[in-house]
This record gives sequence, C-alpha cells and structure tokens, in this order.
Amino acid sequence: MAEDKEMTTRVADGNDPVTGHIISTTIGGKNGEPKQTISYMAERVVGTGSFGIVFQAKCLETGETVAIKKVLQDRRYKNRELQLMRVMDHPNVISLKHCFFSTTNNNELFLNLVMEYVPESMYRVLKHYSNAKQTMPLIYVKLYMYQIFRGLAYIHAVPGVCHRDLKPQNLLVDPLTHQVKLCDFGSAKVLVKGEANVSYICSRFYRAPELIFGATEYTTSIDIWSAGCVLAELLLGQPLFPGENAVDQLVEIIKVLGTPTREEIRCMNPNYTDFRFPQIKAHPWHKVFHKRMPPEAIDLASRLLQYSPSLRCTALEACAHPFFDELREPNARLPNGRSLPQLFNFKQELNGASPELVNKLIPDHVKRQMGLNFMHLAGT
Amino acid sequence: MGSQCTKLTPCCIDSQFKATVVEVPNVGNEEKSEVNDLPTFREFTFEQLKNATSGFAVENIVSEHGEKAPNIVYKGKLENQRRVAVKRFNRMAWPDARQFLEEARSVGQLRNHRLVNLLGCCCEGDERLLVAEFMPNETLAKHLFHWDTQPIKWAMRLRVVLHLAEALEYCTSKGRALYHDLNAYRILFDEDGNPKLSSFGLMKNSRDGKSYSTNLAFTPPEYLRTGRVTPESVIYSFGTLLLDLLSGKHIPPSHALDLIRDRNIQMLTDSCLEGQFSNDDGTELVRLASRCLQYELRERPSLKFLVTALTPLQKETDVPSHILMAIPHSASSSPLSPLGEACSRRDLTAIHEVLDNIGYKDDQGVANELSFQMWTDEMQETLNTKKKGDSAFKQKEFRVAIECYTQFIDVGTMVSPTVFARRSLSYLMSDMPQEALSDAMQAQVISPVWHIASYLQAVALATLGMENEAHAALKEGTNLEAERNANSGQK
Repeated sequence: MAEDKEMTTRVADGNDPVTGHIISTTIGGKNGEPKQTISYMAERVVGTGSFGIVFQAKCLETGETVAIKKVLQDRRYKNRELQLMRVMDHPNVISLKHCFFSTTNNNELFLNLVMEYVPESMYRVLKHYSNAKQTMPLIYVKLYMYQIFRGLAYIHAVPGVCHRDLKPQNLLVDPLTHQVKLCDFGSAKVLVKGEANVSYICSRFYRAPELIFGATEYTTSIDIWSAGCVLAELLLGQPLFPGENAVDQLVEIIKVLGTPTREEIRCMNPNYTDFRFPQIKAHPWHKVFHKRMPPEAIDLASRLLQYSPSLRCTALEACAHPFFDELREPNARLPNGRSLPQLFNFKQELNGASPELVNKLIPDHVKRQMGLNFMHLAGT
Repeated sequence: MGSQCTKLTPCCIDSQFKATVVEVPNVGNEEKSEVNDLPTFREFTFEQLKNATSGFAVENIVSEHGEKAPNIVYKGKLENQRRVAVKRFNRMAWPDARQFLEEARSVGQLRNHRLVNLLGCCCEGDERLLVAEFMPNETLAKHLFHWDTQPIKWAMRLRVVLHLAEALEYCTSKGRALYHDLNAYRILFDEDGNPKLSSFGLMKNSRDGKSYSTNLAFTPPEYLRTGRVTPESVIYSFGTLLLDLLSGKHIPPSHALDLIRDRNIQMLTDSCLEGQFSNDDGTELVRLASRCLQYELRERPSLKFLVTALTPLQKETDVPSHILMAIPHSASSSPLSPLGEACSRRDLTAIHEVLDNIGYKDDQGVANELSFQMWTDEMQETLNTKKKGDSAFKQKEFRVAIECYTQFIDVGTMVSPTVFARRSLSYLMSDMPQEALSDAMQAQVISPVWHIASYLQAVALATLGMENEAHAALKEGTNLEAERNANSGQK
C-alpha cells in the first residue's frame, strides 16, 4: 500500500499555487514500473495555517478533485505527517493519494501531500446549523460521532497514533454520504509509553486538562477528551468550554465539571497536587444540556469528559455505547431514506478487544450476513 | 424517652425552648439517639435570623456556590448563643407557604444523633428559611475530594457510610424515606468529627422540581425516565457515595459498574488508600456498591441490610472520629493569643489596654464614611461627643464613656463597631454584663468577622455564667484572629 504512494523526487514547477496554475509531477519509475505524468490544476485555497496551505486541485488526467497540502520541508528531517499518512488506511481517516516535492525560486523545498478531497468540514456543518438557529438532528450527531470514534479507534490501535489536534475544523464530512474522515495529522505522533511529549499541542477549546497542567506523559486519551468536547458541541451548537486563554480554559472546564478532586489532579499531573484551585461545585448538567437530551448522550459525554485520563473510555468502547444503538438497528437509514455509510466493516482495530465488546460492536443483522467470517473474527 | 426530656430541660438556657417537649417516640429504633441539649422545632422571625447572620453577611456564607447559589446557607448565632446554619431559599422555591411550613414541621420532628437536626424555620412574606445545627468541620466532599492536609482514612470512610446508612434508616423509620440529591456535600462533620446527614435534603423543594442538582450521569436511572425519586433512588445515590469514598473521584456509576464487571477495581481505588485496607474489605464495599446501583429498583438492598453489612466492616471503632480525622478537638483547645488569654482570664484591664491601643483602626472599610453633605454642625457635635467618649475611655472614666458613646450611637448617622466594642467593655467595667453582651453582638452584626466582637461576647457570657457559650465564643474569636493574621500575612 505504502509503496504505491512512493513519491518521486522530480521537482515540479515551483510558484505559489494560484487558481489555474498547473503543477506536473511524475510517479512510478521504480521497480521497473512505467513512469507516468500527473498534472494538477490548482483551483482554490481551502485552508491556511502556520504549516502552509491546503488547496483544492483537479487532476487533469483523471478529472478527480483532490486536496493538496503544501508544507515547507526541512531538508534535515523526514516529514512526520507523511510518515504517518503513509501507513494509515481506514474509511474514517483521510487517505493520502501520493506526494511530491516542489521548489520555489528562492530554493525553498516544499512537500505536497495529495489527499482525497472531502467538500465539507464539521466546523462548517455546525456553522450552517447555528446560522439557521437550529441544532443538529440527533441522528447526525450519532452518525458523525460514531465515525469519529471509529477513526480514532483505528489510529489509536493500529499505527498507535495520537491525533493531538482533534476539533471540528479537522473533521471532514461528505454532505451526500455523511461519511466523516479525520484529517490534518500535522500534530499527530506515535506515543510511546514512558517517553515524554510536548504538552503545547491541541487547540484551546478541545485541550484535555492534563495538557493545560503541562503533563508530558499523556496518552491517546487526550483525543478522547477532544472528541467529548466535539460531542457536546454538536449537541449544544456551540463549544462547551470556550476558554479565552489557557488559564481561562481550565476555569471553563471547572465551571461545568466542578473542581477536580485531589485524586483526579494526581491522575492528570502528579507534580500539581499542591496547586490550589477555586472550589466550584459541578454545574448541574441539566442546565448545560437542554431538557430533551437523551440520557445516553449525557452518559457518553460524562465518560469522555473525565478528569482522570485513565478513566476515559477508549474509542472502541465509545463506539459500543448505547448512544449509538440506533445506528445498529437493521432498518437504520439516513433521514432522506438513503442507506448509512459503511459502519461495521471493522478490520485490525478489533484486535485485542474483548469478545463481549466485539459482540456489541457488530449488530446481529450484520453478523448473520458475515456468517462464518464473524465466528473467525470473534475468535481472534 | 421520658428521661431524655427531663435531661433536656435544665440544659436549655433560653426559656423559650422549654415550652414543648420533643415528641419522637423511640419505637423500632433500639439505639439511644443522644440528642441531649437540642431544643424542639420552632418558628423564627425573619428579624431574628437576619440578626443571627449579621444581616446575611457574605462573610457568613458557608454553602459552596457562594453568593451565586439559588439557595444560600449562612452560619449564624441565635440570641441564646447557639450556633446554627441558616438556609435561605430563593423566592421562587416555595410559593405555597403552608406546604413549606408543613414540610419543615414534619422534618423538624426528627431528632437523631446521625442527623444535622432541623431546629426551626421562618416563613414571612416571600422569605423561606430553615435553621439547623451548625457543623463546624466541613463537608464530606471537602475531606474526600479537596482535602488540605490529609486525605480521609479508610477506617473513617467506613464509619461515614455506616453512620449515613443509620441516618437514612432512622429517617425511613419515621416516614421520611425520600432524601433528595444525596451526595458528598450533604454529609457534614460536627465538632467531634462525627459525620452527620444534613436534614435540608429531606425538604422537597416544590417548584424547581429538581431532586438532583449534579450531573445527570450520576442520578438514578428511574429519575431520568420519570423525573421522580423513590426510596430506592436513595439507595442508588448511597451506592454512588460508596463509589466516591472508594475512588476519591467522580466516576459516573454506569462506568464504575463496567469497571467492576471487568474486575478493574484497581483503577477505581483512591491512590491515597494504598495499603490501608485488605482486598476482602475493598471487594465487599464494591459488592455493596454494585448492588445499590442495580438498574432494577427491587434488586437494590434495604437500608437495614446495608447497616447489617457495613457494621462488621468497621475498623478502629475505639478511636474517636476527631483523632481519625485529625481535627483539633474542643477539649484540646487551640493555643490562645495574648488577647484571647486576657479574655479567658477576664482581665478587663488588659483588654482595655488593647482596645485603647488599636483605636479605630478596625473600623476601616466597615464603618460608613461621611459624604461631604453630611458635614454639618450637627455632625461636628456628634463627633465631639465621640471624642469626649474616647478621652473618658482612655482615662477609665467608664460611666462618662458610656454616656458619650450612647449619645453618639443614638444619633445614628455613623456606624462604628469600635464604638460598640468600647461601650461593651465600659459596661463590663461597670458590672453590666447583659448590656455588654448586647453591644458585643451589635459589633458583630456590623463587622461579622471581627475577633474583638467575639472576644467581648466571651467575657460577657462568662460573667453571666454561661460557660459553654463563653467557651464557644472564645474559640470563635481565636479562629477569627488567626484567620485575620494569616490574611494580613499574605498581603
């Protein structure tokens, strides 16, 4: 898989991409494969950041629309995002098609990551609802969150990657199929137990409290916290913890969850146990969420938004939560009557999961279709 | 029961408390509930409770949310010097006055040593207030979740759950089985460090209809389904408290049950408890918790069962709670400051010296300041009487001092706690302790956390022969002075 995407180092034309600009590169040419030219026409910039830019482009040979992320490449290092993207392959993770280098006139080297194009982001979907003064219908909250957790279950378990910047802007949504894909692995990293990592990652509203405490030995459970924030935001239509700065972020969290207990502080960062906090009792959640909120949604949110990182449920456990049971019904459909995107085609992410959990994750009607294959899967 | 009543009467200082007799027939409750010196339930006027709390002073707020809570609890002191907690409901909470009175009277009949007993209520106009015993040693939440010096020991945790089960069993036996929003903030510690269940939670607040104030993930499943609580819901909440005590964390019960099912008890346990208990004890408590948290109401155990199951688990039963909790006990009183020492000896000369030295320093920020318009001739005259009083006070001409200060106070344009303190001491010097007490209390109404006011009360009370109250006031003065010194040290 990764080999298919082996990039060539042929340097493409190097001006900044502007609408109508054409970039050509060749792929193949290794292991005796024929060389092949691919040209992209840049269409519009869809995102900018400290990393560089993302633009939408069209492949002239195939007519396919792609997203190209163009980042400055330090010649001394390998690009971590590229390394990670090459090994990932999941329906809920954005896929890398291939990549190439380009240079500019002043001899700066850029890496271009060519990825599948998904037209909408969760951020824009949320904005659409809030502009219309509506909240997202519950079926979409379930459908989107389920796929986010499936994507997380995959990246956490299979390559062992922590995304470290999960937020609505980094969740892409196909408006037709309602398929969701995690994107932007620019902050992502394979976390190794016992090794320190930087704590200044993740966008403010979605930062797990242990990161605010400066913990360096965190785990993939920081993504679970972020996902909990996204869940609350989909339910509420606005961020749950809208901190104005780093310290205020903690205050916003305490306002809803109450002051962390001594034991919870120790779980987040043992160096902080002597820290004094404002004593605030947990905010009644029935005031955070509206009355008609199903109890399953609140139960799931409280299992994700736990101060103690080890007490947050895993992404796979979240998928199995009763909140998503509606998606597992045999006659589950999109509101327009179309079928749901594929939700149960699990692969390696089930490795190591208990038979009970696997049993919950795969609905009976799917088990029957899978027949013997399921028996095999449950046995592994 | 009868013996309890005769014991009760001579202990009461205030004649108004003697009138009726606690009418709680001790049926079905074998254990003697030592509620020695508790008065019967009564109604208070709003004025009485306003005075008791120094006009509902912010300094006297003891509930968690501070001023922003819908219902605020204040600490206060009744005219007879009994320390109390006063809960003031928001205006919308009890629109029906009769319902409020009925509920309060009913809960007010309960008397048990495992309860923070309800002493009275007030129902005037829009005002709805409850008065209960004052518990000086904070909530279980504080000791369990936000402790300062040491976490609560395993033996004490076991004692808390047993006493709580006994308190609830007592309430159930008296027909008050519904406890609303049972959580770690509802358990308080008395001056001996013994845990007691707040009686405020027995009062259903009719209008807001919310029996649970916390995260709904912690509430009984039937409450989420029907919005109603049953006696079994209380058992469910008891189960969440067992989890709190075991874990020191806020774990949603559904999640805790999953961990228990997966035998992941290690992850559940409070790290402070390492090495304090055997696996068997831990397992037993976890087993009880998961029974209480059963989804089906009928599968949850009874309180009687819980009391029976928790009794043999008790540890260090001969060690008093205040030692387990490391709470400085009233018997081993904290060291007195020089001023406190002088007050305990009733050394009026020494107290006079201190008061003379501090002058009006402590009035800063408390006494009202005069606007420009108020500087009239009349005003100047009032200030002159004060000046005259001050010089008489200095010269120890106390009769003159009383006269001048009285003139000053009667004009009423200026309010000064110091003037009240000085007149109080002048009364003490003139052998008029009742008047001295009244002035010292007035000083406290104006300046709720002023140690001098408490000290002068202590001296006046001791002179009046009210030793216990004098002792409490002296302790209060000592604490206030220590806090004051700590605060000025921080600045």
